Amino acid sequence: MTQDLIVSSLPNGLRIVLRELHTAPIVSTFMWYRVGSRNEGEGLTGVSHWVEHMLFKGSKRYPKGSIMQLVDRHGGEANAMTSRDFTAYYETLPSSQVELALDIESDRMTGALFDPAEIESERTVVIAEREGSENEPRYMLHEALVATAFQQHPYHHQVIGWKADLQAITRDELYAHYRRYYSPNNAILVMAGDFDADQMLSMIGDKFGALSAGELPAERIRTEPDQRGERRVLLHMAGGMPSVQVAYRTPAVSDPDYMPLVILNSVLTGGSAPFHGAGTLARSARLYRALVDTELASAVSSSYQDSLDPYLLILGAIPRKEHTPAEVEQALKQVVQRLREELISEAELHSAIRQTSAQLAYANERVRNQALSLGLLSIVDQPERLMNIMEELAAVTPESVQRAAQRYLVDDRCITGIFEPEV
Amino acid sequence: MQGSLAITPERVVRQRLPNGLVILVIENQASASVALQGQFLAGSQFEAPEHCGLASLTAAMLRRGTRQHTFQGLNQILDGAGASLGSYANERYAVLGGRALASDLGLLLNLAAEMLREPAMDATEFAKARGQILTNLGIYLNDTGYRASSAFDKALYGPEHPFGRETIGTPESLISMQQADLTSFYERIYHPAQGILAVSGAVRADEVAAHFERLFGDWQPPHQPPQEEIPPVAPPKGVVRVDVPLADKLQADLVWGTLGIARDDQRYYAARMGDMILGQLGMMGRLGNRVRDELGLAYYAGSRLERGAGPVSWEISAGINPADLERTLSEIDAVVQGMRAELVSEAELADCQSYLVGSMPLGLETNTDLVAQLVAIETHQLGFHYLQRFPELIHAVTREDILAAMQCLDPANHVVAISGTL
Repeated sequence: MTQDLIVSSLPNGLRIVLRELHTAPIVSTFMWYRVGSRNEGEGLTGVSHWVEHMLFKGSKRYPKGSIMQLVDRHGGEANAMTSRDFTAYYETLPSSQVELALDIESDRMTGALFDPAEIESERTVVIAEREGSENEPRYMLHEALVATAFQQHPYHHQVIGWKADLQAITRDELYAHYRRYYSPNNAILVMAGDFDADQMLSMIGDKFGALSAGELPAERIRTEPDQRGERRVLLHMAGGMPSVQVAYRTPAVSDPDYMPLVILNSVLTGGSAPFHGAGTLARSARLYRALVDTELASAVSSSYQDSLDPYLLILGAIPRKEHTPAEVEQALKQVVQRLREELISEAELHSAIRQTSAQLAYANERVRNQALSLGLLSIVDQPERLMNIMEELAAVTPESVQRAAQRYLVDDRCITGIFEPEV
Repeated sequence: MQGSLAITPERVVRQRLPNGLVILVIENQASASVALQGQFLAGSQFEAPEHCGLASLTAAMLRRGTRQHTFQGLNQILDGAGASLGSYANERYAVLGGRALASDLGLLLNLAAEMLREPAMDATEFAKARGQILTNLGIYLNDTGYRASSAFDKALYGPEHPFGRETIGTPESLISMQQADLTSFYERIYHPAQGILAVSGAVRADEVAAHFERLFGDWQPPHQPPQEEIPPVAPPKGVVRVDVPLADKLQADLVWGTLGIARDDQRYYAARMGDMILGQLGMMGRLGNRVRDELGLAYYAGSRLERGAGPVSWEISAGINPADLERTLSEIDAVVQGMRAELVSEAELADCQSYLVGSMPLGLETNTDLVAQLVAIETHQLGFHYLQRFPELIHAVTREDILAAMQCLDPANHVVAISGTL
């Protein structure tokens, strides 16, 4: 049913990753661009995400609204996402309609109009999106925490961008960003599903072969300097319940410590599928038992996201009203301390690997998820890594988890954020 | 394997045990996992208004320990297998959902049986669960979307109606709740004769059905099975507006709507298609096109016809800057009026039909999708030919049918609830 991965490229630099899967009459097509908030300079925060919005607002070939209309007409789904490291567009369609997805993405790479009136109406939409997040104290704390963690690296700002920049960015700046980064030699086409790979390669050549490679800007990403001493953030705003977030610096996905940290994260809060993100909260995991079972907190969470450059493992908790954020912070850090000081048991390791494997199996039931994982890996590492993921998981040991904890989960290099509602 | 014919009478094993419990199993050998869904008529409709939250907390307690396993015992077993199993209640039903790798099917079914038949309702776990819900409620009460939705339900159905109450409970009702209330609710309401259990995955259907029979065949509670008790509701007269102020919010959420058309009404498919054209297809239908795309007033603006029996709601929702509130409301009125006054276009009808029929494979890709569809088919007595009949049902709907169904939504008679810093 499942064939090997096919990795290829066109002379214009477009990278191609294909995986045949004949479990359902569906093909998922993703076009990934190596541009995200990481590539945004001063005054232009949020520009990548706004460009993503504009690529649904019309080209000569596909007028505004027509992409979604055409995909809907065939019973498919289409959307896009912007992250720190990438922008990606996708269509999942019945396999008989796959050419439509290729045609949309081929046109989208160069044909978007950026009509000035559409830019202005989208400005308020993007600002409204940001304001919806700003309603949430936990979002505001997260934004402040990450901005405190990264003082020089562009991971400093959120993908949505700062509101002052969203109010000021011009049509020329948006269009220049589009022209700078949207070219075949900065893109990866990932497809998974019910197709014949040889025929698909030929169709891809027809659709994308005539596009010219662009001149990509030299990448000048500042490396975040070493952090010396804990940093703390305190947020006060109206309403809600207090919350605690603690961020620890973690390496890029390509680092050998990545998979031990995936398992460490699972030991703390439950397994999630690497290179995908879907996961579940395990209520036998250490953080739940130490904070929720003891009635210190009503909920715990963790976020360990796949990234091109070193980023963060962020642990969170909502204190119950009988307890202070300080008590919860202390208990959370004690759990982390134990990971540094003691080996996890073989049973915990086995459970964490089993949870992670199961999450992968669940995620892979959707063709779209397979294309998503392959694309994400193509951005942050190499797609072939997905085929060896079980071997990587099996190689994790209690010792490698403890080494990773000692190396990265360091109190003196953490960032602690506390939200306390204003009374 | 999956596709529009993933569920057919030939592929579904259906058994009704002598105690009334319905078992549904479908094989999906393309998958490495299994999914379980259970549904029992044990929702908040059976709780007294002063005990709101009782059904929800009772359902949550099923997962917090059984006679054989403590809460942490269950957690250890499920987490160790990479499996999950949870339970919650809505207005109508208590719902059980789980999944596991196919090799752990037995474990999943055995624990589900323990939860349903022998919940511990332990006092310590009750206190913990209630404390967690109270904290979560503190977060929800500061959420503009939750507050607008909750105020809308209360205004549309009335505070005493099961659909108008807070399913999760209120601080007052939860604090006054006793462990004995949960035990009593469980013993009075949960009954196999009002239950459905469905499994999909890499299994042998006959073996799963036999396993279910061993686990549930002798479940015979002494009480009578509960009967649906949803009171009828009259549609709103005039415009009922409710403002819920919350401090320090940049965005306001609004819910605009009225009573919809129930799943068993012959106008249902026309209403569903009208709803898609109004607020779903493309970038949130005509509403999204006008309010978001053309005017830039909102990040989201769409509609949703609830899919169920009885007095279901039909809601339009949007997230907006408070300064744009009145203009947004007037635009919503205008879009709704357009849907009421004129036939949808031939192209809109054709797009809607092709979307609904064409998207069937995508909606049935996973085991979780399949068990949800099986339970819906059984609940609404659609028959396992339903997916084969579905294209015909959709293509039978005319533009005139949609126009007639759209008369439900009325700018002159509706409820609108708004929450934010107004």
